[in-house]
Amino acid sequence: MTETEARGYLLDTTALTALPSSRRVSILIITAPHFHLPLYAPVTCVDAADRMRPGIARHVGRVPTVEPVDLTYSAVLDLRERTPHMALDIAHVVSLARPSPDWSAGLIVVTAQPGVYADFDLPIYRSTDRVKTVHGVATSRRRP
Amino acid sequence: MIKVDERTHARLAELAAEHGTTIGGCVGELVRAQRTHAEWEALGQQTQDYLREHFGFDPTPQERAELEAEHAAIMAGLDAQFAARRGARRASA
Repeated sequence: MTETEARGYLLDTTALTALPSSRRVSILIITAPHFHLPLYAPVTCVDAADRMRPGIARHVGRVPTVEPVDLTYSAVLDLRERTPHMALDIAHVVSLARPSPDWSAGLIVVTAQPGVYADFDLPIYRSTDRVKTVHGVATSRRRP
Repeated sequence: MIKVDERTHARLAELAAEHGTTIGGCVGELVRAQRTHAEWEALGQQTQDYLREHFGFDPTPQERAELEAEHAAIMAGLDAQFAARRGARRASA
């Protein structure tokens, strides 16, 4: 198994919040199993997403492809040391996405806000279409 | 019944002892951690059914093709990064 074959995707708060409306998130969730790639949702992001869009936490538990990842004591120590000033959910994503004994090749972060992770050299999959402008008005593909 | 070489057997025995299980239990755990092609396919289908039922989402063939191309590009980029890092490590060794 090569390093990249061992990878998976990590859904952050913005990606989870977009689950009911983003075609890019949905297509990724459906297609990832065809690449034999797991999808993970840190519980801190599930909590944050559910605060913004109540009901998301239950959906995450029912979508067969997505596996919640608990916040462990060792992860708390890691994120407190490396990212002490970051919001808990973002710090958890950064901690999980880096190469580690659990995921030796690290994980690809799925997010609507790639800039948040710019300082960490993490592979990114944008959960929103690149913004296009039509007559000066920003548009993006969303489900009706 | 499966047969393994002595080195693998010794490693399995050590891992099993450290995890408080038997060699059979250890192998069973390793097998459960992996999915077959059919299981991956079933997972994708169940997910598609769920998203269609709850969010009305049904991907078009074009969307699937675009995602596959993007995924391949991400993976190719990562492979290139790993190759560069391996090369740098060899050069500095």
